[in-house]
Amino acid sequence: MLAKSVLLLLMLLLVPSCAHVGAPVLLWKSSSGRGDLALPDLQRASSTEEVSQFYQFLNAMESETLVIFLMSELNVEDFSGYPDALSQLQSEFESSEHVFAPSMPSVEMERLTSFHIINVSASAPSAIRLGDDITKTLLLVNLKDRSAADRREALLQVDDTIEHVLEQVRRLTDNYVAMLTGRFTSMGEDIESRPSRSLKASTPDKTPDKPTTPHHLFLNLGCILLYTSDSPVIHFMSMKAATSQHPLLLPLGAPSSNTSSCNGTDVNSAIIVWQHVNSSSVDLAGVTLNLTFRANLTRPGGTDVSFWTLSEVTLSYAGNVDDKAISKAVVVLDFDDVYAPRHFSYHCTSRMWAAEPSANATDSDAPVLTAIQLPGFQVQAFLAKGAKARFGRAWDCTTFFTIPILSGLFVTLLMLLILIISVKMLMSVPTMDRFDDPHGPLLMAHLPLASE
Amino acid sequence: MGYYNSYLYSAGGLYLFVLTVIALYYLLTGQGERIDFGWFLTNTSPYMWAATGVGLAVALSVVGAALGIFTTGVSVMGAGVRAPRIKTKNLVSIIFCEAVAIYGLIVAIVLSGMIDTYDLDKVAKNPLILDNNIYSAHLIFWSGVTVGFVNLACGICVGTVGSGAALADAAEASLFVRILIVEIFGSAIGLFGLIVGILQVSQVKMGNAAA
Repeated sequence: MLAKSVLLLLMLLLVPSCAHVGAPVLLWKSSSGRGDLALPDLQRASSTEEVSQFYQFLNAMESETLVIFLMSELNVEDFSGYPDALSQLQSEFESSEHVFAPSMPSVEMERLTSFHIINVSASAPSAIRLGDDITKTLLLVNLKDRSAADRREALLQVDDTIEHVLEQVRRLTDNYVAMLTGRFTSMGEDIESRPSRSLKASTPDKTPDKPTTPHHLFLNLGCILLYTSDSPVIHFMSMKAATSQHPLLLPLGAPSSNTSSCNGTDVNSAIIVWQHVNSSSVDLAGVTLNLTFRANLTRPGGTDVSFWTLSEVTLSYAGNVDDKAISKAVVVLDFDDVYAPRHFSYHCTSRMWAAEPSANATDSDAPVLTAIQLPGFQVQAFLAKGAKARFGRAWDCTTFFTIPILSGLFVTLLMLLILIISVKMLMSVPTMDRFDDPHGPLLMAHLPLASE
Repeated sequence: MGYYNSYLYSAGGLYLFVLTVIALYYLLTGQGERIDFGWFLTNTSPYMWAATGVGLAVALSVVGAALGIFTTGVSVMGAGVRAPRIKTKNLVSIIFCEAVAIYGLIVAIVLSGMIDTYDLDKVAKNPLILDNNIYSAHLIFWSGVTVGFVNLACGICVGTVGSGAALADAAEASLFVRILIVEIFGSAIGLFGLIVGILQVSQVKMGNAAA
């Protein structure tokens, strides 16, 4: 009995380690598709035999066109975690026959032998042409979801791309089968060995398997220490656009130079410069972040710092944002919440720091800088000269006992008081023992037998 | 029969222990200034305060009325056994206690009608909206507390006097009207609470339009 249970436990522990990590596959046919497409039941397609049945089905299917949308990372949780992100895709496949497998090994193009494979560029779907009528066409769309800033962002872009490509495909044929899958999942044990979609600067797809170097930023400027766990990201948004849009993101890499001024007793400042920063739609030169820390002294005119604040932060840049040239822009950022007592460092996990609305609103529709995101931000100023470059205790932007916890304690106090008083009152109600006589005869009640 | 006492002491003691641990955590990690009652008052949800005020207004008033009815009713029933003529006349005392509960009900309905939600994006454009909502929520809370505790006292008072009235009436019929005057004075204090409570919330402006 004991041996059996130990064996069962071992099996349960070993099973996850030998299970392969696969990506989900969503297969659907066009709503006006001809022919009776018997979609396979992929729910249990995890063993090799069922996977080969899946490829057999694809090779033998009646539709002449198969469109495969290949994301670099897709997970089952992406479908449920962001239900509104894939809304167009959802209406597309819900209106027609579809089948879903939560975990399938990555699609191998070599096994799709009856297809003529055409690579489609996601950005130029109008160039789609179907192959000749003899062989079936496989349109392979590689979705570049790795450069998006967050998961929701990536899924929204994928949704748009799928809709555009399928519009073009519908113009050419109305009988197609489409598939959405990923090369990897965004979760799993093997995620460390490959570059996963993240805030890192977009690496080109041609080197997908090289591990990237860590992008944390640490600056030791004598009296100021600054750290972010990943590259800071600047957000640009067009002020003139009527509809809501996604912000343009620009991750800043390692800074090219930095200077600091530590001589003042109550002012420390730092200037950090990135010479060239670019991403897919933004190209800037001379991005300069200017930080000014001000100390509150324990006595005016003294030298003891009681606490310091980050009083002024400006960011200046010049270049091209979304193909619109900007000669020089200076933006003041709102870092008012950054303060810490002396010997403490200020820490905040991944917060967006908004830009203050500028006094002179320009009429151009060039996107303006709206925020900077500093992941895992930690900063300390007014460090003693010659002290070890080490952060003091973290003064976090959110307290440990947050407001909801304290509100809960307040309401609990109220209810506890009510409970205590009411229980005491209830238990103080005496029983009627006026006519009780412990030495008297016991009460007898003669009950008649229950009759039918 | 005193075993429940230990449960109550444990519950209260556990709560105090939690509070002590929280306070000591902040003190001993050098973050003593984070024990900030002002921060607590301004950052807690205004809805919590307003809803608690509404609840306390009706709950405490009803507790007062219930205690009053309990006291009076027992006496009326007991004295009514010996002098059945007092039964109908002494129902007036019960009605006075019930009126106390109605004061609480009216105030709770008035207060809950004043609660309104605000949107954070409108607050971002006009911070005065949040200030007014916090102000209004505190007014509603303390108005509820005022009315609640006043009616609690009033209910107990009217009940005790009513009980005396029933017993006196059973002994001698002419005493009832005189003790009723005492009861009326007792009932008036409940009205004071109602008036002050309504006065407190006369300046309430909750919602997006509060600016």
